[in-house]
Amino acid sequence: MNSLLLEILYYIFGGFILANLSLIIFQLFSLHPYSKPTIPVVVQSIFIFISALVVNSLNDDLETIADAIRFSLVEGILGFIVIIPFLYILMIYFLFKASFRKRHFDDLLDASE
Amino acid sequence: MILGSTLIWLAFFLLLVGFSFSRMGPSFTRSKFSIPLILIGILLLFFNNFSIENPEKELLESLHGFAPWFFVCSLGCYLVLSGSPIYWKVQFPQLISGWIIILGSFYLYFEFNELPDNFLIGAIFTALGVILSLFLFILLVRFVENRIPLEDSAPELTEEEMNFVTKIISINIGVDEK
Repeated sequence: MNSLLLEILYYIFGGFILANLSLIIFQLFSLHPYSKPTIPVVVQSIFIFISALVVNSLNDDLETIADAIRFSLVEGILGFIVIIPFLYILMIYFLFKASFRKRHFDDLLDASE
Repeated sequence: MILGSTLIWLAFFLLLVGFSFSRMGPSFTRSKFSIPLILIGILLLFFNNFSIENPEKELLESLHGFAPWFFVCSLGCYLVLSGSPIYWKVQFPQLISGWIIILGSFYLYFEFNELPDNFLIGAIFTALGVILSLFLFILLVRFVENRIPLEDSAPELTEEEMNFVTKIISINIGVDEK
């Protein structure tokens, strides 16, 4: 398979496995009496396993499913490291707006006293 | 998997658990463990002296280049947020120092961070994978929530409850209770 296409698939599966694993950990460790995480956690685990199987079949260097999950997680985190600065630039834009905003004084605040 | 690589994943796990514990809401009593867990995760990630094998080695090298910018820029953002006008009061020392730190942090980004060759491809397709995962999660939560039967409507207020509510409203709107 084309190496660029393979790289794209690794990034997609990497992001998918990373986000699913993070959500599973989040659901388990923020458990409270109103949450019902059983079905989402089981289905997401199955999807992680299937994705790892696909990555394992695409990459000959990977011997086990665990290796495929490690490899995909690294690809996902590396991709995420590239995304974070873009998210920060967006946040900095909103910070810039918040820093220099000017609001008129609300007379209602005076009236309440 | 050797010890150094195992510690990297343990650190990653602790970071996720720490962020999960910091959640507001019904699980808020666990939030006091959040910052210690995040700190242990960061320490494990960056002060891991054991030998590390690939692919974790490649990850750690990228993180070492990325971390200086990330922490400095986050500090700058925090200072700008705390110095920005809230109720018409501006904290100029925090605001100005925050902006200087944010602008300076981008020097760290370009000095220490090495972008991969196809960094845009990486960003776009990782985001696609994350969006697919979030979409699956939303579908699953929707499916689970739809299976929960609706509860019976609440019973009417008793005489005692009605008097209590009337009293509270009367006090709040400043009308004498009749």
